[in-house]
Amino acid sequence: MKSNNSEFDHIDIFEIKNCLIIPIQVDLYDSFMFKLRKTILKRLSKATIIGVVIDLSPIKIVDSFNLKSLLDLCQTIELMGKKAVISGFRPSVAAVLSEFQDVKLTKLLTFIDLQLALNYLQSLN
Amino acid sequence: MEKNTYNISNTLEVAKAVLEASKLAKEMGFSRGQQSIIGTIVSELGKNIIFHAVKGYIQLHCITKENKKGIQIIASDAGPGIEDIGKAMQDNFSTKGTLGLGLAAIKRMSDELNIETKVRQGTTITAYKWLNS
Repeated sequence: MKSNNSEFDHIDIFEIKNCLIIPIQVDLYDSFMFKLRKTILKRLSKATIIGVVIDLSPIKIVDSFNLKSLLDLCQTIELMGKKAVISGFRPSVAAVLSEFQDVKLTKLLTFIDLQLALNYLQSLN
Repeated sequence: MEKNTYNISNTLEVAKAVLEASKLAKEMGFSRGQQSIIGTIVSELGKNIIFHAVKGYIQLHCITKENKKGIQIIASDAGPGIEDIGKAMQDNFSTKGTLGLGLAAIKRMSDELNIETKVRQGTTITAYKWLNS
């Protein structure tokens, strides 16, 4: 998808206790996702990393294009042998997502907030 | 160009239309959940325009019909059109490798949905969301 948003393409990734945290603050458009995937893959090659938390708490709108990007990203992370979890879906976002009647949705591992997601990843270690 | 018309040719313009739609929905008194649904419908329709037709426009109107107040979202393009609407409305049908959930979800999320389409001429989709329905 064409995009002029390159100035918003900056990606923050934090590492806490062998978990990567990616706070998402912009729409998950294609060029951003491409860059994000590349950046994450580099960081994931480190053996000590347990998994990745994608935090979506600031996001108010998730459409089917965003959902596909998200599913693809989680799949990429899992292919690297790491756990991918999502935190912070707003109730309104969850309500909308349930309208996208897709079986793949149940594959997403979600947590109400970042702390719970981190606790879960820690427990795997 | 009308004030409530948004040209759509990139994702930034879609984001702007989504923001304006959410703002309008809030002003009209839609609940937070409904605002989110309206925003998602606009986002979905906007990205459909970019994905299938490259460019088009979205119009947002505050309308009244039979004592009902609501929001009307028109998404129009001069793209390839939809060959088989029946198929396009099904879950998991996609001509282009997307999830193929968009149109079916838009239908479930909106109170009324009209699709006018002619192959190789374009598509106009009108979605309605009524207040307190």
